[in-house]
Amino acid sequence: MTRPLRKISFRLLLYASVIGLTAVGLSACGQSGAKTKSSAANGPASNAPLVIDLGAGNAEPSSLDPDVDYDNGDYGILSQIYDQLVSASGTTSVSIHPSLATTWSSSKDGLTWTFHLRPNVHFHDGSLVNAKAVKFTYDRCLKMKQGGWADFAEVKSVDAPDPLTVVFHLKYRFSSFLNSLSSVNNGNIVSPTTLLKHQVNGDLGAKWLYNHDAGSGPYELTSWTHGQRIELHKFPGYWRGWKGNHASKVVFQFTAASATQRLGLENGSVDAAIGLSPQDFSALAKSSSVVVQNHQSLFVQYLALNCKKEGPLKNRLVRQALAYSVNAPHVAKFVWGGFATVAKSYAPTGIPGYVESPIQYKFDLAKAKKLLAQAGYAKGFSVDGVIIAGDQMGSLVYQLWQSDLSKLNIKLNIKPLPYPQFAKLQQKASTSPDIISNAWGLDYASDFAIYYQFLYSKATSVQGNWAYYGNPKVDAILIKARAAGQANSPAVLNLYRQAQKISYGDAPYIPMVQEPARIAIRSNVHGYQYNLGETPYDFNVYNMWKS
Amino acid sequence: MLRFVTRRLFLLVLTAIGITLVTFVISHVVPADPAVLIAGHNATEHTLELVRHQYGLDKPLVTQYLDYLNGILHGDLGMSTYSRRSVVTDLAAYLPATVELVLVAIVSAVTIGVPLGVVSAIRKGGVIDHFSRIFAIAGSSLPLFWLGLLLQLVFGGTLKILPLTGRLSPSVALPPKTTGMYTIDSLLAGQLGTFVNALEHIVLPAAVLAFASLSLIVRVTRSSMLEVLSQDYIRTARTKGLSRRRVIVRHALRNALIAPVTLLGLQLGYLLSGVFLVEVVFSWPGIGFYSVHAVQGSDYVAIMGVTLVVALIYSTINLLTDIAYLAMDPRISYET
Amino acid sequence: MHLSAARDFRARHRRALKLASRPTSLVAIAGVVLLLVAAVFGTLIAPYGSSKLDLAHALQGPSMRHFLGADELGRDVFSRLIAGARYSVVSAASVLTIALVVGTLVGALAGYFGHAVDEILMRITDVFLAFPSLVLALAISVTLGGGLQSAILAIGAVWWPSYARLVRGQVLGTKSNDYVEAARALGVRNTRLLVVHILRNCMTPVLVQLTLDIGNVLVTFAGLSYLGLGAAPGSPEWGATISDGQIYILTAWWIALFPGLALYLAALVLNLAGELVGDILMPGRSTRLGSDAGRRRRFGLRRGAPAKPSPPREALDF
Repeated sequence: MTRPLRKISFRLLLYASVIGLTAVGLSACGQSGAKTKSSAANGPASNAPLVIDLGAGNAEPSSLDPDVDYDNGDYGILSQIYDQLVSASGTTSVSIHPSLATTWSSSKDGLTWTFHLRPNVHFHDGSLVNAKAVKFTYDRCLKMKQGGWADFAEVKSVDAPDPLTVVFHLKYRFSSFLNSLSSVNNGNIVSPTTLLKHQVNGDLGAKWLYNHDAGSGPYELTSWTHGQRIELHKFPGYWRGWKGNHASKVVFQFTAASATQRLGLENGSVDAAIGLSPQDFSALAKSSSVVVQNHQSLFVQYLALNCKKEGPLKNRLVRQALAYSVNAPHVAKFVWGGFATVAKSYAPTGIPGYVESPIQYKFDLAKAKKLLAQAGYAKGFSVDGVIIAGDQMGSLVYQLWQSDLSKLNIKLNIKPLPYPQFAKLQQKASTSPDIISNAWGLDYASDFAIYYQFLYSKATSVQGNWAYYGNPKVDAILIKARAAGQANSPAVLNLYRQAQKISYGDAPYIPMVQEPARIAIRSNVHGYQYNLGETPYDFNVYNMWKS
Repeated sequence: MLRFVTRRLFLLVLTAIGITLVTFVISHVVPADPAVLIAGHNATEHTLELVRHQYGLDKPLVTQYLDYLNGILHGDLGMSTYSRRSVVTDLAAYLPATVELVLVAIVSAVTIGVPLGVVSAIRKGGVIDHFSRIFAIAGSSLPLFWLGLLLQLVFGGTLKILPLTGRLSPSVALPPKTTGMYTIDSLLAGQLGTFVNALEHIVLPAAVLAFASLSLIVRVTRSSMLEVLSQDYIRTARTKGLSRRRVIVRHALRNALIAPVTLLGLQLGYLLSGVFLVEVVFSWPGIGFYSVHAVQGSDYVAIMGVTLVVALIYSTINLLTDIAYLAMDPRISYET
Repeated sequence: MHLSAARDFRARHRRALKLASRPTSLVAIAGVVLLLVAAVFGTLIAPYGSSKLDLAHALQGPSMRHFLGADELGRDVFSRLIAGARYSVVSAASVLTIALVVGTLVGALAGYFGHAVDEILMRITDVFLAFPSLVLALAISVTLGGGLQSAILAIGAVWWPSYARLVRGQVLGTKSNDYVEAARALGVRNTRLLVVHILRNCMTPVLVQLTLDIGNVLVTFAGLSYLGLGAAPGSPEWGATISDGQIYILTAWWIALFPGLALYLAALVLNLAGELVGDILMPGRSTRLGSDAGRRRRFGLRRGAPAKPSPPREALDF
C-alpha cells in the first residue's frame, strides 16, 4: 500500500506533468492551425459535411416526430427529412409550389379539396408515397392532437380514392387551407409502413419516431446527440435526384454561444449560422470570408396588453396611452442593431393578406400623458411585464420601455417566466400577465394565422389572442374574411383593413417591429436561398454545396 | 473495520432515503401544471386529465412518494417533460461529459497542486512558496463563471488558440462510443485528430474547474507538509543521518498526503457544484447544462432527477474516501 | 485582579491591532469598508442612475464619459456596479441571517436535549449536507419560483447545516460546565439556561464562521443569478449583469467582465477579513484538515472536544 508512494519522486512527477502539458498544448496549436489551412485549400469538398450552427436559442428539437414537435428549430431539421404536399417559398413574399402534390383543386363551396400526387416517390424505407400514406399522416396528426394539430382543426376527414389522389373534406370553408398544408409544424408526410412496424400499444409509432425518421425527404437521420448536434446524410432515392451540386452530409449544431458561432465562421469550422447577436453579425459582415444576408422574417415583435383583467389596462384610453409610449424606431435600432423594420400592421409584410393598418401610433409621450390623465391615471400605476425566460430581446425591449414609462409615472416590473408556468397562467384572463412581450411566429404564411389568432375573441388560451381581446364587430369581419376567397383579393384586404382600424383603436396589442432574419454564410458555400415562408432555421440544404 | 464499514453503509442508506424525501418534497411544491407540458399546450382538458392519470399526478402525496421511491429503486426517475424521454436516459447521455470534465479537473489539480504544495513547504519562504501562497489566496474567492468568461475572451477571442464552447468542433466526427468521454474514446479508437480536438475543448473548462480547487490543495498540502516536517520522528530520522530527500520521500510525504486525500472528498462537493456553472459558461453538454436548461423549461422532474443522482454520487464517494482514509492511516480511532 | 484584567484587555487589543496592521489585513479592511459604502451610499456616489439610458453611447468602451464603459442601452457600467453592491450585501446578509437562525435553533436543541432529539436533528442535517450546495439551491430556488426571494431562501436552506453542527458542538461542550450545573442547581429553567448561559459561549466561533462565510455566500448568490435564478434580468445585480453581458463578450467585454471583477474582489476582501477576524478572536483555531481535530470531527463526534469552526462549507466556494 505504501510502496508506490515511496518510489515516486515528486520532482519527477512535477517535471513530467509540465512537459506533458506543454506537448499537448503545442500539438493543439498545431492542430488548430492545420485545420484552418486545410479548409481554405479544399477543392470540391463533397465528403466534408455542411456544418450549420443554429445557435443557442431553443434550436434543438424536443422531438423528431413531426406530429409532436412545436418548437422553433424543429422545422429546420424536419424539412430536410420530410416532404409536404405543397411548399411555401419566396424571399420577400410567399407563394405556394407543388411538392408531393402536383396539382390540386377545390370544390365551389370550398369544402372539398382534391390533390393529385406525384408518382414514383419513395420513402426512406423504400415504400411508395401514395394517398394512403397521406391519409395516414393527417389521421395521425388529428388523432394525436399534439404539436401544431390545430392548424388542421377544420379538416373533417381525409380520403384516398386511388393511390395518387387525396381528398380532404373540411368542416367549414377555410381560405387559407392550401397555405396551412405548408405549415412549419405539420403536414410532413410520414411512412405508415415504418410507423406501424414500430408501433407500441397503438401509439402509431410515436415512441419510435421521437428519435428516428420515417420521411421521404432528401436527407436521412444519421444520429442525434442531445445537447450537441444532429447529423443527416443523403437519401440516394430522393425523388428530385442528385444531379448537380448538393450537400451529401449535413451537421446541425445547437447550443453554441454567439461568440463561438462567430469564431467558428471566421475560422471555417462552421459553414453557416443564424442566431448571432446583432453586434457579432455586424462584425462578421466586415470579414472577407463570410457573407451576411439580411432579410425580413415573419416574426413581428409585439406587446400584448390584458384587456379583460381588472386593472388600469382594462381601460381603452390607458392602452392607447401605452401605445403612444412605445418608441418602435428605438427598438429597431437598439435591440436589433438597426436591422428590424417598424411594424405598420399586426401582420408581417410578405404574407398574402398583408395590409397596413389605417391607424398608426407614433412615439408621443405628451399625448400619452394626456390620455392617461383623461383616464384618471395621471398619478400612474404599477404593472407587470412578462417575458418567456431566456428571451433576451424581449428583456431589452422592456428595459428600453421602462425608462419612457417612468416619465409617465408608470412602474414596469419585468418578470421572466418559464414557458410552462406562463402557459398555465395565460389560460385564464384573471391570471394572465398584464403585459406580455413576444414575437409571434406564424405556422404558415397567411393572413388567417395572424389576424384571426390575434383578434378573434374565441381564439384564446395559448393558441392565440394573448390579450384576451374581444370585439364583436371585429369578430364578424374576421368570420367573413375566413370564408371569403383569395386572401389577396381587394375585398378581403379591405376587410382586414377595417378589422385593424377598429382593433388598433382598441389597442390590445402594440406591434413594434418586424424582426430581421440574418444569416451568416461562408463565401465558399453556394446555393443558399432564404425562404420567407418558413422560419429562418430552415436552410435549403439540398441545394447547398461548398467549394 | 468491518463494523465501521457496515455502520457507514447503513448511514448511507438512511441518507439516501433522506435525499429522496428532500427531492420529493421540493418537487411537490410545484406551481406549474406538469400535465400541460407533457401533453403540449394545444391539448384539450380531456387529454390533460389522461396525462394526469397516466403520470399519477392526481394521487395523494404519500402514495406519490411511495411510487416515486419505488420508481427510483427500479431505476426510473420519471419522464423529462422537455426532452420527452426518461430522465435516466437523459442522465446516461449527459453524465459522461460531466465525469470527463470533473476527472480531468481533479487530475490536473492534484498533479499540479500537490507537488507545488510540497515544494512550497520544503523551500519555505522561497519564490515558489510566495507564488503558491498568493495563488492560494487569489484562488480561494474566485467566481468560477467569471474566470470562465475571462479565459474564453483571452484564449478564444483574443489569442484564438482555443475554442470557446462545446466538446468537439462541429466539423469533427464523433468518436465511437465506449465510455462517452470523447478524449478517452478517441484515444481508444486511435483517432488522434479527434483526440486533440477534444482535448482543445476540455482545456479551458477543466482549467476553470480546477483552479480554485488547486489553490486549496496547494494550501492544505503545504500546511500539512509543514506540520509533518516539524514532527519529532522526522527530526529523529534526520539526526540518524538519512538524507533530506530520503526523509521527505519515504517518511514525510506519506503522512503529509493524508490531508489532501481527505480533502478530495470535500472537494468533490465543491466541484460538483462548480461544474454546473462551468458547463453553462462553456456550453458543455453535461448534467449541469442539462439541469440548467431544465430550469428554463420548468422541467421539475429532470431537475429533481439530477439533484438526486448528484447527491447520491456525492454521498457514495464520500463513503469511499472515508474508507480509503481509514485504510491509509491506521492511527485513527474510529467510533463504533 | 482589576489591574490584570485591564492589562489582559490591553494585551489583546494590542495583539488585534498588530494583526490588523499586516498589509493583507489592511487591504481587507479597506475593501470591506469600500463595499459597505457602495452598498449604503451607492446612489449618492454613482455618476449616473443605474437604469439611466444613454442610447447615443450604447456599447461604448471605457471613456471619460463612462468610466468603465456603457452597456447595450447606454447604461453606465460603473454606476450599475455600485448599485449591484447593495444587492449583494443585502442578499448575503439575509441568507446568513436565515442560516444562523435556523442553524442555531437546530444545533442548540440537538446539543442540549441530546439522545433522540439529537439523533434525528443530526440525521436531517446530514441529509442536507449530502447535497452539493449549488445543486440543492438550484432545485429549491426553481420550485419556489426563481426570483430574488426564492434565491435567498434557497441558499439559506443550504447553508444552515454548518451552523447547526457548530452550535451543537459548542452546546455539548459547555453544557456540562460547572457554572451551568450550578445554575441548574439553583433552579434556573431550561430555556433560560440554554439561551443566556450556553449560547452566549457559542458567539465567538459562530461569529468567526459568519465572517468566513460571507464571501462564499456572495459568490453563490451571484452564481444563481447568473444561471437565471435570483435577480431578474435588467437588474444591476452582479451575477445578472454578467449573464446579460455574456453575449457581448467579443464586442463589448466590459459589460460582463467588470461586474465579475467586482464580485471577485468583494469576495476576496471579505474572505481575508474573515480570516483576520478568525485570527483575532480565535488564535488557536485550526483550518487544516490533516490535524487530529479534523479527523475526530469526520468520524462522528458524540462527546468530547467542541468542534472548532470548520473551513467554509465544502471547504471552498466559488
